[in-house]
Amino acid sequence: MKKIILFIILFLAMAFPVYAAYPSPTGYVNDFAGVLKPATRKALNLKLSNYKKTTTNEVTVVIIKSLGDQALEDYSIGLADQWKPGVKGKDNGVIFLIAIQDRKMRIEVGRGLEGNLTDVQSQHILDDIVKPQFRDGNYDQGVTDGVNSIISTLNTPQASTSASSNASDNSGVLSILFILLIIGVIGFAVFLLHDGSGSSDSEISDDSSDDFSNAGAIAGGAILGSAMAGRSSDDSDSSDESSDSDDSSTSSSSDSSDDEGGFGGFGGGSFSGGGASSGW
Amino acid sequence: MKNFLIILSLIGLVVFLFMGAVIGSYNNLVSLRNQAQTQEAQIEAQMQRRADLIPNVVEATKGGMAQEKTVFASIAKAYALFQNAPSGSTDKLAAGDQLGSAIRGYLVVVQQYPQLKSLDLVRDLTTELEGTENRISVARQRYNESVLAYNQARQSFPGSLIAGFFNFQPIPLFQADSGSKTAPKINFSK
Repeated sequence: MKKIILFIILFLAMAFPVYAAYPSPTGYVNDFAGVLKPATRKALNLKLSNYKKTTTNEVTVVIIKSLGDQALEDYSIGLADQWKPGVKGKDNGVIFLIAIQDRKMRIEVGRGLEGNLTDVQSQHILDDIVKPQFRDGNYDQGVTDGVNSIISTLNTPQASTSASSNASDNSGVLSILFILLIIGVIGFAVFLLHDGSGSSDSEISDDSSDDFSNAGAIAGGAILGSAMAGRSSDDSDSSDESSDSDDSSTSSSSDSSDDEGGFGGFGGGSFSGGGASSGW
Repeated sequence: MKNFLIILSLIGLVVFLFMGAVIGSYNNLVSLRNQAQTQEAQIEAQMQRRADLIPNVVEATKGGMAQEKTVFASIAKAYALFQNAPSGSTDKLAAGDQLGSAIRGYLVVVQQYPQLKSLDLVRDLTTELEGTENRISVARQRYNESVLAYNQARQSFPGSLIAGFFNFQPIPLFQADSGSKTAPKINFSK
């Protein structure tokens, strides 16, 4: 009984940060505190939206009123896990998070960009470029300069440190199951053909072969079904399934308009906690 | 004869469906366990990344705070313990936690030396240390999530039967050491 209670408590404690209420993204610039002028917001949204088109990197600005009870880093990674900016597989997302009342900010860098925008670089952007502006109350200038610095740092070719480290074994399991699937389909087809060929040896076995082949077909289906069901649940949000970069299809979804009405959501990139924090 | 064959194929059908369920549950447990092990390796990788910074950090500061012998000794000891612990063992992760403690103590002392704090090199190294701390914290979080998923599958039906039969052991959650939640931040404000 104690174990069950412990399990429930731990489960809730672990699950709670993930399911904490984060607002939904409205675009590449999400000013939930209303500190930016509309012109700034529009200009930045357009810039980041175009940046996404040319590079597929998804950089987003998030300005909130307050962190509440949460630590900056906890809020940031929780937000990253929920919104998942960045193309899935490429993990090329960046969140520039600003908490106005707490006077804290963080740049959260997606796994795939950790080599292009290092922790030290993020720290310098926040401390040297954004902080002075924020201290003077110039949120528009500070955010704009910060975004420009992030973009220019990302554009600078770097010796990329290997960000994708874990070779996931799931691909091996999947391919085995896929082979099982193909064998099952072939077996199924053989059973069907055997049934219809009518070239059985004796007329007596004709009757029994019907039942057997039917049973075989059903069994084949059952094995196929279980093989599909046994496939690992690869929809888990936190699982470490970063595939190699050549897996990700770069066929971008057709973004209709190029103004701020064209935000179609983020691409499912994952984060491992890289970036830097600061305040003012 | 025909009835016998129908019964036989029905039995065969039940057996195959049962096998299907067993296979499915087994594969699921294997997959979840693998994910937990992958996440555990990720914790260690980030801890290693943090440990790799230590020589540079010590080198950059030992001149300016040479008299802080206790602090340097404790970091050196924790560093050695971590490097020597076998990869993939619980000892490695425990040693990593101890190294984290030593680093935090060390950073607190660096705070008291303004001429060190103001060095760009020290500032950047501290940024990198803090970066790895966060990565470890995130990796630990993800590990615990994957362990919970595995343990849950292991305990619920039909996983509990499969787990017992094929000997799937429970995996312990990685409890953070009490100090890690309140990591002191160096204030580099000029």
